[in-house]
Amino acid sequence: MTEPVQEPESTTEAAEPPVWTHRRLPTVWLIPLVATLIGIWLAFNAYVDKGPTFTIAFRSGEGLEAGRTKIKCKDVEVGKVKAIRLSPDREKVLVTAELTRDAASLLTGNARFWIVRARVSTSGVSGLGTLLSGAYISMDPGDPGKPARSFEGLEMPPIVTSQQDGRLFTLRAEKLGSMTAGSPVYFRQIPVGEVAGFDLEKDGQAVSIKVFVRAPYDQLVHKNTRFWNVGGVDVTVDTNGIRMSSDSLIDLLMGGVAFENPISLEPVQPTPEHHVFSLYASHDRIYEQVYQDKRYYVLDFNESVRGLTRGAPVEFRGLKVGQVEDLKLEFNAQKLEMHVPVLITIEPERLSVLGGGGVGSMDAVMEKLVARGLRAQLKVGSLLTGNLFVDLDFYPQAAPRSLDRYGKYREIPAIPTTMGALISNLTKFLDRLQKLPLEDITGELKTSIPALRESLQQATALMSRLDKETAPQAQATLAQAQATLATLEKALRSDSPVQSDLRRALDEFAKASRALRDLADTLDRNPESLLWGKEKEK
Amino acid sequence: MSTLTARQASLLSCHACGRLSQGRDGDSCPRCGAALHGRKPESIHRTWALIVTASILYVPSNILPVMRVVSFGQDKSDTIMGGIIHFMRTGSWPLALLIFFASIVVPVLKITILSFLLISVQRRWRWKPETRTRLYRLTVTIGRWSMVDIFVVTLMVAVVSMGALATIEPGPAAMAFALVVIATMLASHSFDPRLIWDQLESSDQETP
Repeated sequence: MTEPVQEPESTTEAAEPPVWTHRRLPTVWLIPLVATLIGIWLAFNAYVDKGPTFTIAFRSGEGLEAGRTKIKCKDVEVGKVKAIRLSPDREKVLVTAELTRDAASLLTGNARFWIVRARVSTSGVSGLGTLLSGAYISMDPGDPGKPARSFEGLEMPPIVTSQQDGRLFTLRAEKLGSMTAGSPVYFRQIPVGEVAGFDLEKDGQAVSIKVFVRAPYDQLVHKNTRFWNVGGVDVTVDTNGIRMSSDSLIDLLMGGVAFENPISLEPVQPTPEHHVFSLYASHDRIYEQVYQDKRYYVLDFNESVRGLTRGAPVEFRGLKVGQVEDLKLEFNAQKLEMHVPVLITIEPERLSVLGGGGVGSMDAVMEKLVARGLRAQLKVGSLLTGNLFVDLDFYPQAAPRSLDRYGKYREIPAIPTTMGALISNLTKFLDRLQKLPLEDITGELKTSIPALRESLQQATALMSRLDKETAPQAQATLAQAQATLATLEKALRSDSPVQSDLRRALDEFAKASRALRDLADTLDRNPESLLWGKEKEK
Repeated sequence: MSTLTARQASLLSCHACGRLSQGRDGDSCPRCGAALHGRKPESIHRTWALIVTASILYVPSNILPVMRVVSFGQDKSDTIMGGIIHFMRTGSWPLALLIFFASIVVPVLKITILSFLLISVQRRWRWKPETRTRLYRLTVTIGRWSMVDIFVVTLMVAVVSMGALATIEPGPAAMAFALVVIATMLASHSFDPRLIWDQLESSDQETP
């Protein structure tokens, strides 16, 4: 068995370990090679797909789960929460998340994140889907900007996301009213946008409100556009009386902003960037422009200013030119005089100067006007409320005064109220009335009244007698007179016999008188005829 | 050792029908016509290649999610280890152990044992050939049970398909893991345990 044994030995040699010295690797090694390639490809893919990691700070991590919570942009998953931990100061929840590679470019400083949970608010119910799926983090990429890796999460979903077309406008208001983020913005009562947010201005003097107007309505906003607050019930008591206005019930609860383009003489201009609109308190106010140029003057009323309040209008012939800014009581200890200086503003921009150009030096103009008789007077704006306003007008007959100085202000001379004059006249009249001896008069009256009554009774008796006795006779006489008159009328008629007789008689009388005249003539000429008779005809 | 081996007698056993016939490597079996080999051809190469493949695939099979459960809009992907931890936390210790054993221990064990056997053969170790043979038998026996995980996933995918309520999808790791199991099974089959004994035989012959 030596030979056969040797032979297998050699075959064993070929099949045994020397495989490693084989020049050509068996094809079977292609399998791990392919597997490795696939592995490398997968790893490479995974590496390439690995997006940026970033952190978001939230106030609360409610509903968030590491490794589960997704980050969605426009409801498309773009990332996942990797870890949740507390910030070192334990104030915030730091959420570490990873975005997919293709969404990495969205991660700019303008990106905003908020947690989407089921929410029920006055503006509706949102995020119901999260009841089943759990909360997720929504992302609004915002405008392109510098890449950022650290973000502050929003507590409330933003009203305006970069997915919506439209424009943001800034409004400046004295107070917020019943407005909240999400309150509607109306144009002709059509909801065209929403209140995006509000903030107190740095000096705390006003509220800055951001409103978002959706496209294409944002084109309607011009430089002249007026915004006003439609929320709540607006009760105004001023010199025009009492007014109350409110819009729909929803607006009452939620507040809202409306805007309008008033028809005005000003040209339509596009809204400049960063233009701040004024938010008017009500629709009525939108026509009151806000004037920047203000001149202060002092009025010294030497009378009661009850009913005059701050903000009361200063009018010139019924048109507002300014308003009352301040009033106080001043005591002059030396002269022992009380004064009520009233500080007013006059807004020269309200005047349109003929021929263009400005008013010029306001004080110089005012000085001339005062010289011409410009005076301030308190007038009653509303009899109901007794509110006063300041009226400026020319009183050429007033005592000449000049524009005095009053501290740092100039003083426009004032004249007493017409009402005050009226009241003083009335008082005088009442005083005189009081001085009348009313008691004596009444005593006398008391005594004369019975006598008066007696004479009245007598008069009545007389009247009744007259009625009983005289009246029938009078009636008969009257009837007779009537008959006589009728006869007379008959007699006097032209065709009556009396008249014709009379006429005939008169004719005869005329003839007789003519004959008498002839006789007289004859006698005048031939007086002898009286003796000799009528001269015979020759 | 004085026993005569088939190899020494130039006898080759047919892999297909088991007939013992005299011949050389590459001859065909006189009965069934299958190629005759003294030992499994390229056994060490193939085994190594498959083990390397399995080892490579083992990485993604554990890193990537094996199963994706979408229930009530909640999307949840789990790796094998994540699932085990989940079961452990929820108190299902037996289930956690079973999956841990079938999915983590068995493949690792198989790869380790086969690598050890291959190294031992290549280094011509003479250490306890019986134990080593027993280890080999163990890998062959337990090998198929690693598929439990894949079966679970496939069953779940088929059974839990309720649309919006719940859906289960296999993850990329399921495929990788299936390939690991297949690779290890093929590796254990391509390994020839007789190589363990060849060493002893040859050294026996060398020593005398």
